[in-house]
Amino acid sequence: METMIEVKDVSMCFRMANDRISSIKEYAIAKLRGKLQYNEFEALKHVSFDVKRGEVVGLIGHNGAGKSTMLKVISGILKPTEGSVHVAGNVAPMLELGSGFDFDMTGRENIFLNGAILGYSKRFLESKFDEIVEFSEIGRFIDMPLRNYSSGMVARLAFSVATVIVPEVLIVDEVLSVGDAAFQEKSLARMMELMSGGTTVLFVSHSLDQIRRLCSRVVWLEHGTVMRIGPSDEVCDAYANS
Amino acid sequence: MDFRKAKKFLAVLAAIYWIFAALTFFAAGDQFRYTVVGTDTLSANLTIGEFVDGMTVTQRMIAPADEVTGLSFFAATMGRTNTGIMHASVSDAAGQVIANHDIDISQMEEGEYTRFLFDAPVYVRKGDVLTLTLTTTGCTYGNAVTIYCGNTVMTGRFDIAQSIAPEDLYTVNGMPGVGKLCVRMDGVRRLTFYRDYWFIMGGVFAAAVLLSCYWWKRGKEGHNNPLVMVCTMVTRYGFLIRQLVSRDFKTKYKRSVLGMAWSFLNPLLTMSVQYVVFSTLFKSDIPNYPVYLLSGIVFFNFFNEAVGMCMTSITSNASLIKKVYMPKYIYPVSRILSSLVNFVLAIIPLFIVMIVTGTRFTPALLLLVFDIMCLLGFVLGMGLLLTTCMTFFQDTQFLWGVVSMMWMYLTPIFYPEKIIPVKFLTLYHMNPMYQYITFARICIIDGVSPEPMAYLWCIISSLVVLTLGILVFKRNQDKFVLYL
Repeated sequence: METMIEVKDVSMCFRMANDRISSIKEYAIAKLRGKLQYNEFEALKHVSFDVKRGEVVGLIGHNGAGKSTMLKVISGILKPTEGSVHVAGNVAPMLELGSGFDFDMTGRENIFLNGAILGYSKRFLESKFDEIVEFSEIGRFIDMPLRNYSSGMVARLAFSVATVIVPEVLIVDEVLSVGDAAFQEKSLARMMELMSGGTTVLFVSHSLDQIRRLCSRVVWLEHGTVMRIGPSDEVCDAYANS
Repeated sequence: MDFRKAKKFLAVLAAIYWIFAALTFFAAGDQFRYTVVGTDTLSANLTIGEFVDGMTVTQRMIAPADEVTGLSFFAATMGRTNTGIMHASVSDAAGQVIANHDIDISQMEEGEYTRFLFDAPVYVRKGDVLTLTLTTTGCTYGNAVTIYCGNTVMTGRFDIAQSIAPEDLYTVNGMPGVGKLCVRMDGVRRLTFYRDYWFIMGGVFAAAVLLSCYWWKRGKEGHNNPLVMVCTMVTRYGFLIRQLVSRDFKTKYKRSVLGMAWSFLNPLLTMSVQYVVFSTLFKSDIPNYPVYLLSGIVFFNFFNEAVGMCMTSITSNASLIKKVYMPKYIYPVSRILSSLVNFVLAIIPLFIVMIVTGTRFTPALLLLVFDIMCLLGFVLGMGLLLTTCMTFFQDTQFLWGVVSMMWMYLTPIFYPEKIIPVKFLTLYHMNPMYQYITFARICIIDGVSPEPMAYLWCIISSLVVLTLGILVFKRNQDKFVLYL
């Protein structure tokens, strides 16, 4: 089967200067005194795995295990210090919904802005516009500035824009808890629909229930290294017992 | 990259290039054929007295070019209409008369240079020492003009005495006077640029086509290069950039009553204030001062605003950069484009002021497009450099505040260029903003094209800064996200 995401020996190293130096003066002084040391922090250490077409792979691990860093590396936001990541096909990263929303603009304008940021074309957005508005349940508020929305409405709009597309590769970072119970159910159904549609999914969650329900395989990260890769029940059991 | 769309885009680009090349040729006209030059003159602060029959006035002059076309006199008519003829003859170092011209004295203007062209141009060698001899016929006291002379030079607000070599003083009947005559020898310098124009444009085009073909082939093989980048930007990210620009624009005026009108009210109000301040408080003898001032303000404001906006483009979009992948250059480019929209709106009041002051609209205005393109490249280059600095060192924005103010004073926006001491002029002219603003003023106020050299300077300064900016930005862009 075709490999959609290939993570090869990826290490991500953050250099944290002993004090966050952000002015030329501080930099010069530190450099002159020879005190410009960096604490190296390796968020990922030689991680390798791959995801085949149509697979739904879960990513689990405790806080600080490197899950979010891994997703950012795969989405292209971070460039790995070592190793390489190859993604075939178009990626829709849902790391944080509604990035790029402008609260002074109306819902309508924001749909186009956020859609453009997510890489949708104008024609696609125009054809899906009604669908987005309907799914988000925004109704007549669509022509009001976002600052008048409730936080639930913003989140619903963001989710609707992000999930309107059927991407080849979907990267999801715990976005399912959006809105009230009814909308959560609706959004979960939408995610299921996306995932069952043959899309390749990489999915981060702390909820083992969700992982067991949605994923076929699971990658368990701990302190930047892969602890275990395997079928979801097996890895989830091991993780729960750890 | 979408190769079909990219092909269309390149074809449009090529068409624009040729249309623009033709328009430039048409608009520039004579300025590509020759440059008008004249000898330097001193401030007119003295006169030689009424110039009557029997006086023979001579003045040594240096030929300003190989081709001398005429003479300009700074005369005073004593406020009356005078009649008579002034005979002007120019002789070379060997005493041979090379040009003779009879001037109708009634045509002399009061208090300004009046130009008289020879019947046919005279060919000498630039730098030749020539002697001008003037006599009159039909002029008596009460019916004569006088010619100004001077021994000082104006440096902005002060006249500074000049020491004049004895042989450079004018003489009246053999007696040396106290200064130099305010008579200018005019000439033209022929340029080969006109003849070679189409060859040069064709050559540039051929080079661009060759380079594009090479990049196209490499791009198809999957390599990244500037052509692929530009095409991707237009074809894939065009919609995104348009959205970001429209967001900048909408949010800028969202909660103001006058909204978009501020884009052209702002420069207009700034101009009004500076006009009142500088034309009444300080002495300013710049012709068409409102247009001079406003063109300077509009162009410099664009530079200042675009670079400033570009500088913070990465830091202020930190939340987006950390969450969504898109090429980093989108942020500075979209900021520059939103400033460009503002700039285009700010040109409207400039045109209004041109109409009000009665400035002529000439085809030379088309050349502004060239000037603005160069300015755009320069501003983008500066913006890329500064946004890179800004991401690593937040001090950049405060430093830039001071630097941009200094830059404003180093550019002739509200003062005339001539207040700059001559010894600093070369350095002063190296300021790219000086180049762009002067270029624009020649097109707008004089209604003619600048010399070919001005084009070259604009292109070079723009390309150098742009290339530098791109290189620095490209080298560091992957590190940005770690510092946000």
